[in-house]
Amino acid sequence: MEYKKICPYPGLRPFNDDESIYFKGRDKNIDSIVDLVEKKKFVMLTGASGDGKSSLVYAGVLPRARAGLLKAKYSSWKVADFRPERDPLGNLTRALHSFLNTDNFETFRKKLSYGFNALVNTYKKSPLFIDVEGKEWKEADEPTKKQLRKKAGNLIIIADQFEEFFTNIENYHNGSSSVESQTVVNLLLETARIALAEYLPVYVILTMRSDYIGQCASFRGLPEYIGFSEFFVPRLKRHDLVQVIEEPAKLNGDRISRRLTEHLLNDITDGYDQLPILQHALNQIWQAADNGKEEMDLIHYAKVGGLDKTRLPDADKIMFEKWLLGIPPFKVKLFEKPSLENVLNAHANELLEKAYDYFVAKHPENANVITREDFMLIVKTTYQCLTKIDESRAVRNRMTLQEISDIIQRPHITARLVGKLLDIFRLQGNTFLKPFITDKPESLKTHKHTILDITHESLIRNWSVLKNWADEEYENWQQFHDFNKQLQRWISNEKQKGYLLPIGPLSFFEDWYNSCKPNKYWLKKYDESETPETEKDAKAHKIIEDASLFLKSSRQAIRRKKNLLVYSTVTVVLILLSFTVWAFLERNKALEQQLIAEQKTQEAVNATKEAIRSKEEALKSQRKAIESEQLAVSAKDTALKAKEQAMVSQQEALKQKSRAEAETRNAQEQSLIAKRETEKAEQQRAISEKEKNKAEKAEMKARQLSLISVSQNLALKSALQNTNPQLQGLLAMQAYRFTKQNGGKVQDPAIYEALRSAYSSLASNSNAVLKGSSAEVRTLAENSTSLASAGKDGVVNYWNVSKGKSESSVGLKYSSPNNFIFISSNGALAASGHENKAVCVWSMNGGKISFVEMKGRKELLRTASFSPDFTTVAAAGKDSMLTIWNVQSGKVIKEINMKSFVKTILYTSNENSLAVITENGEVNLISVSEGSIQNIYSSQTSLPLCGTYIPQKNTLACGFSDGKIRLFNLSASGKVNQLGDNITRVEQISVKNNMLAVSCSDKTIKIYELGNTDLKPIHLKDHKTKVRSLIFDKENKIIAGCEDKTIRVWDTSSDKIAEKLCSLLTRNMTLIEWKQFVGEKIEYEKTCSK
Amino acid sequence: MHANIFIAWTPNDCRSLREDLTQVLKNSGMEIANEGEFPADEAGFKLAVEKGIQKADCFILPIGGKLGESLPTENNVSMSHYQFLKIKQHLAESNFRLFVWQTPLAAPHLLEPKQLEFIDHLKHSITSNMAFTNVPSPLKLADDIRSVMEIPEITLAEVAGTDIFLICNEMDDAEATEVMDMVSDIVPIKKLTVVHDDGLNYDDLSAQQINSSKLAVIYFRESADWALPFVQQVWKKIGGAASKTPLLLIGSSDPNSNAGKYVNAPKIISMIVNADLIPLEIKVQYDKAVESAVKKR
Repeated sequence: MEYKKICPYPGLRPFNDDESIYFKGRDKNIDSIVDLVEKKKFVMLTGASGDGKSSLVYAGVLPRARAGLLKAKYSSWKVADFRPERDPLGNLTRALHSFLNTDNFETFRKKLSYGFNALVNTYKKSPLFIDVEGKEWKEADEPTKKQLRKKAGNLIIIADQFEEFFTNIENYHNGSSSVESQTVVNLLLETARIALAEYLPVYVILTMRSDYIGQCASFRGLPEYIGFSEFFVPRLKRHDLVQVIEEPAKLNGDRISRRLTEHLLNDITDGYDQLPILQHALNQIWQAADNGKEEMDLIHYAKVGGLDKTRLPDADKIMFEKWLLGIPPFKVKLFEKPSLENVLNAHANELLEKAYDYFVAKHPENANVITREDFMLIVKTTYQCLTKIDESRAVRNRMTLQEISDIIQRPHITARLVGKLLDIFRLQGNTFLKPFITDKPESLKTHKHTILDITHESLIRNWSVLKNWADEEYENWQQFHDFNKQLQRWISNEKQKGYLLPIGPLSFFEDWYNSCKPNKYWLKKYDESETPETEKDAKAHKIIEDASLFLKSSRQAIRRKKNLLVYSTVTVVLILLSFTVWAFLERNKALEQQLIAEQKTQEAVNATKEAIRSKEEALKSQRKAIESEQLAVSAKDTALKAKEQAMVSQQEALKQKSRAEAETRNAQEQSLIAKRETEKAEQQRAISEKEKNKAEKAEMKARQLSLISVSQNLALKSALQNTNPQLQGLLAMQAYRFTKQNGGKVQDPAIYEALRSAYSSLASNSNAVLKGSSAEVRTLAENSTSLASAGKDGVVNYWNVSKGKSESSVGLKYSSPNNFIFISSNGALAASGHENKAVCVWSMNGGKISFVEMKGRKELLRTASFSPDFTTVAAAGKDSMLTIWNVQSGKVIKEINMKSFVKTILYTSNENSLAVITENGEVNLISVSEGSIQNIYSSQTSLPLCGTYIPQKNTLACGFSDGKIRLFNLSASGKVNQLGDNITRVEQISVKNNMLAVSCSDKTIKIYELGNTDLKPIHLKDHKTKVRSLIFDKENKIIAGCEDKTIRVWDTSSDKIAEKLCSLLTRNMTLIEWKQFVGEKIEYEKTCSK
Repeated sequence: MHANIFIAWTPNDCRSLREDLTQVLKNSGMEIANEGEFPADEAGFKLAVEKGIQKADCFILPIGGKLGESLPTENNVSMSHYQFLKIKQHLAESNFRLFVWQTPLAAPHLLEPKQLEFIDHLKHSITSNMAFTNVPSPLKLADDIRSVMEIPEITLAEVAGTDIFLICNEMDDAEATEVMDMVSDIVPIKKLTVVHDDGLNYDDLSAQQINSSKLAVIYFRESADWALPFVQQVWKKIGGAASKTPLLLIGSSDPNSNAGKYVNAPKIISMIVNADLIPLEIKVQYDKAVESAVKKR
C-alpha cells in the first residue's frame, strides 16, 4: 500500500489508531503505566484537565499492549472502554457485551449488576479465556489448541473520565454515590483483585481529573486501590515538549525549525489546555506549511495567528506582508492579537465565517431555506446546547441533533438540517465537534439521534465567541432562575395580583424573555431530576405556559396602574420639569444613539442582503473571476463587520438608554435632594439672614442704646449749663436728637426736663401762667375756642391760653354760696352745689346764662358729673345719696343710696353708667337704669380720692391716698393695673389720649405715659401751690388750676418744646464742644439744621 | 554524569540573577565551569570565553534588559553577541548545548531597543542544540537543563548485523520459519519470534536489530491484531521516516480477515499477499531497499 501523507498532529481531537505512532513525549510515562498494569492489573491515572490522560491510555498504553509489549497471556487484546456518563452500568455492559457474552443486553446487564466476580466469571466462561486445567484444553489436539489460542484474548477495561461518576447527578448526589455507580466500581475493583490473585489477563485502567480525588472516598475500596496503584500524569517538561513538537514531524518525514520549536515552547503558558492548544497550533502550522511539504517555521506560525509579524525575520516579514494582501479582510483581523491561544480562536472564527458559504456550496438546494441569520442562530444555539456551567466553569454537554433542533424550535429547521449545517466543524483538519467526518462515507451522515459533542473543553475556554455564547447561556439560565422564583411565588399565592411583577422587574424580564425565547426543550436541558422524560416534558410545558401568562398579567396590571398614574404624573412632571431637563437631554441622546444604531443595523442588514445578492450573482456567473469573488467576500465581510458594529452600537445604545434612564431617575432623586438642600439652604440662609439682621439690629440697637445713653448724659450735662443757655439748649437739643434718631423715648423725663429747662432759660415766657381768677380755680374745661375755669366764687373765666389772658368771664350767681362748681367737659354747662343743699345746672351758651335749680337734698353736695351726652347730671355728697337729674327739666331721674359719703362721682361710658368713690374707701360702679351698685374696689388703708374715665380703654383711673394710681378695666370686671411709684396723695387726676396726669399733695404734677409703665413720669414741680383742678387741652398741654388762683400751662410734648427750643438756638456746637460733651467717636452733626 | 555549565558574561543588570543562577545550578548537582568575575580587559575576557567553551558542555547566555558593553576590537559587537558568535561555532558538536535565557529582566518594558534587536536575532538564529527559554526563575531553568542534559540509559542487546530481519508472533512462528528458510537461501536473514509472556523488551531489541539490517520484515498470518501495533511501535523506536531501514509489514492473504490490514506511515511498506509469494515479495523489497540505500550514498 502506498503511503498517504497525514498530519502528524491531530489537533484538538485525540490520536486515532493511525496517528498513535505520532504520540510522543510520554515514553517514560507509558513505560511506568505499563509496568503498573502488568504487575497490579489496575491503575488509576489522575492529572489536570488537558494533561493528556486519555491520550496516554489510547495512544500510549493500548498500542503497546496490542503490540505485545505489555506482558500478557495471549497475543490478542480485547478492549472494553467506556465513559460512565449518566448510565455507568449500561455503558460498561455495552462495552463488554459485543465480545464477552451471548446473552441479550438486559440479561447481561442484570448479571453484571450483582457485582463482585460477575465480570470475571463472564470472562472465564467466554472464548477469550483458556482454562488449561479444563477437559476441553487437555483433550484438544494441536490444531484445536491453536484455534483456541487464536480466539483467546486478554481483556483491558478502561473507564475513561471516571470523574463522571461525580459530575452527573444520577451517579452522585449530596456526597454519596448511586447504587448503580457503586456496583460498577465494585465490579471494576473486584475484577482487578481476582485477576491479580488468579493471574488472569484482565486489566483495569481508570482515568480521572485529579480535582475529584477526594470524592473517591464515597466508593468502598476505591481509595485503597488508588493507593495501591496510581499514576499522576505529570506536566510535560521542556525536554518532553520538544519531543511533542519535533518528533511527530521527524517521524512523518516532515521538517520543523528549531526556532519554531523554541518559540512554541516559550509561548506555552502554565495552566489548563497546554497540550490541546499546542497540538492544535501544530496541526494548523503543518497545514500552513503546505501540508508539511515546507519546513514548518516562524512564518507559518505567523500565518495561523500565533506570531506577531514584527517578530519575524526580515525576509519572512516581506513574504508575510505579500501573503496578507491575498487573504480576505476578515482573516486579516484574526491576526490582530497573535498568540499561541489565538491560533485556536482564529481558526474557529475563520470556520464560523466560512461555514455558511460552505453549507450553501455543499447543499445549494437549501440555500433559500436557510438564511445567514438562521445559520448563525443555529450555530450559536448548538454550541450553547453543547456547553454547560459546572461549578462556574464551562464544560461540555452532549446532546442529540433532535434535542438541539427542538431548542432552536423553527419548523423549517430539522435535526437533519442542523447536522448538515454543522458539517464544517466536524471535518478533518477542523474537528471541533464529534462525531468527526472521516474517510468513511457513512461518517458524513447524521440523523436525529446523532450525539454531538465538543471535541475538547479547551475550545470553550479559548474561542472567544463560544466563551461569550456559553456565558450568555449561563446568564440566560440565571435569569430564568430568578424569573422562575417570581413566577412560582405568584403561582403558590393563587396567582394574586399582589404577586405580579412591578414595572422595573417586568420590563427586565420581558426584555430577557423576548431575547432568550425560552421553550420547554430548553428548560428540559437543565432538568436534572430523575423523573421520566414525559414528566419532564409536561413540567417544562407548564412552566412556559405559566410564564407567558405571568408576564401578560403583569403587563396588564401595570397598564392599569399607569393610566391612573398619568394624571398625577403630569402634575409632578411639570413641577420636576425644570430639574429634569438635562436628564431628558441625556435620555434623548441615548435614544438618538439607539436610532442611529437601528439605522446602522438596517444599513447592515441591507448591506448583508446586498452582499448575498452579489454573491448569488457571482455564483450564477460561475465565479467568473477570483478578483470579483474576493471583492464580494470583502463586501460581505465589511457588511458583517458593520452589522457587528451596529449590534455593538445597539447594545451600547441600549446600555446608554438604561444608563440615561438610571441617570434620569438619579437626576430626579438628585433634583429632589437638591431641592430639599436648596430649601434647607434657603432656610439656613433665611435664618442666617435673620441672624444677620438680628446681629445688625443688635449692633444698631447697641449703637442706638449707646447714643441714647449719650443723650441721657447730654441731658444731664445740659442741666449743668444753666449759665450758658445756648450751650444748655444745644446739649438738650442734641440729647433730644440722639434720642429721637435712635428710637429712644423723647418723652423720657430727663430729655423732657432738659428741653424744658433749656427752653425756660432761653424763652422769656416759657410756661404760661394765667392769672386773673378771682378765686382758687376749682374746675377747668375746654371748648373749641377757649379754656373755661371756675372758682368757688361762681365766676367762670374764658381764657385765650396762647395769649395768656382771660378774654371773658361770667358770674354764676345764685342765692346761696357755692359749695362746689363743676364745668362740663365741653365747657357749655356747669353744675354748682350750694350751701342750701341745692344743685344748679348752668347753661353758658354764647354768654347767655340760664340755670335749673335742683333741690331736695338734706346734706351738702360735694361732687357732680355730667353724662357724656350732657342730658343728665349726677350729684352726691355727705348724705350718701346719689341723685341724677334731667339737665333740662331739673327733674330727679334716679336716686341711689351709696351708704357712704360720696367724694367723687363721674360718668363713664354712657349716661347709664357711673363710677362712685366714697369716703369709706370704695369704688363702685352704678347702673343708672337698674339702680345697681357693683363694688370694684374697697380698702381702708389705700383710700380712693379722685378718678377719671378713659373712654378708649373703658377704664377707670383713680388716685389714692397712699399715692397709688390704679386703673380699673371696666370691660374685665374691674381688673386692676397699678401705675407708677408715687408715694404722695393723689388729689387730681386727668387723662387724655395716652397721657395721664396727677397732681399730688406735694404740689407737684406727674405725667405718665399709659402703656409704657417702664418710663418714668414727667415730674413738674416748678410751681408752689396745690393744684385744685387738672386737665389736658386739645394740644395735649397740661393745665392746672391752682390754689393761688392761677392757671398754669405746660407743654407736655418734647417734640414741641424741641421745635421751639431749636428756634431759639442761634448756633450749633463747636467741634471742641462736640468732642467735650458728645465725644470724639461720634461723628459731628449739626444740632439744629438751620 | 554531572553537566559542566559555563555561565556567560552579563551586563550589570543581570549580575544578581547570575549569582542566584550559579548557586541554583550547583544545588541541582551541576558543575560550574567559570566561577568568579570575568577579567576586565578585552583580551582576558576573550580568553575566559574560549576556555569556558572548551571546558563546559553546556553554555548559558542570560539576557537582561540591557545590551551592555561592546568590544572595540571586534567591530564594536556587544560582549553578549561576541559570546554567542563564539558558542555558535561549537553548536554542531553533538554533546554541546546552548541555553539562551531571556530573564525576567528582559520584560518588554525594561528592554533597550538594541537589546530587543539582539533578542530577535538570537530567536531567528536558533539551531540544533540551542534552546531559547523565557522561564521565570533560575530553578526552572536548572530543572530544564538537567532534563535535557540527561542521557537515557539504553540496554544494548547483542546484535549481529544482517540483511533481512524477520519478526513474527509466536502464533505464526511456523509459517515464518518457512518463509525464513526460503529467503535464507538467497539473502542473509534473521528471525525474532515475539512471545507475549516471556518478559523480553521486544521493542528495544527489535529496534537495535533493525538498525543493523537492510530490511526489516514483520510477518503475520493469524496475528494481524498484534502485527500492526507492533510495527508502529518499532517504527517509532527506529525514528520513523528518518530511519535508514525500511519496514515491510507483510501479511498472508489467508485468512481473508487480513484484508485491509495496513499501516500508513512513511518508510513502512504494507502488503497482504498470497502466502506462496511472500518470500519473493520480501526479496523484491529487499532489493529496492538496497538500491535506495546505494542511491542515497
